[in-house]
Amino acid sequence: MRRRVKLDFKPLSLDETAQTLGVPRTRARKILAMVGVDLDARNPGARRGKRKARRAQTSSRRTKTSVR
Amino acid sequence: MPKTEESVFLNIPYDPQFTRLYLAYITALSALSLVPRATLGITGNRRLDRIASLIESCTYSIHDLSRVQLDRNRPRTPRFNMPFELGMVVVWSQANPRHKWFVFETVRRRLNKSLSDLDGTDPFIHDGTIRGVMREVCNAFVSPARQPRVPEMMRMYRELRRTSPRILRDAGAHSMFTARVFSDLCVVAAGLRGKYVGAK
Repeated sequence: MRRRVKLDFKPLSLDETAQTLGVPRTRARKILAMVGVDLDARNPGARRGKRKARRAQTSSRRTKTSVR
Repeated sequence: MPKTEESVFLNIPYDPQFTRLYLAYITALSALSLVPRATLGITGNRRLDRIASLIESCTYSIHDLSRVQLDRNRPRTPRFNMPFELGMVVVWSQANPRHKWFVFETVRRRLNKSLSDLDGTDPFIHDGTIRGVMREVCNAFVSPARQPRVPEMMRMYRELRRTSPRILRDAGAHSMFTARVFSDLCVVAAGLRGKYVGAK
């Protein structure tokens, strides 16, 4: 009998995929650059877990702007 | 080895004649947001334990049983690793029904002759072509997001193939069938998914 499986999960981000495959971040960034893809780019539908980091980045940018 | 929902144990022949289909499997699985895993790089006398642990860490497995011919090197032998690993998976999935396995073949009705114990299991016939692999992988799985189209996968495949010599050079490898090259190819294919699947 041929079965068709409906996948039911949220796709991993590129970073998580590289981690699962045991590829270090720096190497993943380098090999993805070969095809013009940014490791930190948001994939549509990918798991997100960097809200805190993004918030921190935005707030530091704001601080810099206010200093100027 | 941590168990991940997206991991697929890819049980395929590791020989240069299979390179195109090897890249096609990596592309098709990555297009569906799955992460291919293989026994590449697993060596030594604990090899069997590590293969078992790899199988246990995956939710799905694909077994390509198309390499049934004798190899060219003397003494000429058929390859038994693929059917053996399928046997390991069948036993594992009986105890763990969540693990789903699929058999892929090139020639229709050959499996009934080569492995009649699997009678009643319809293999996915890819005809030995890149498009065939993509079509049949899409017949086996339905994507959690939008189902990728074969032309999108073909674009991913072409770019992955164009990039592969650089990946080989960077890894200092002569063969595509090494652990590092395999994982690098899978990362690149995952990156290409965002670039081509769903792109206009």
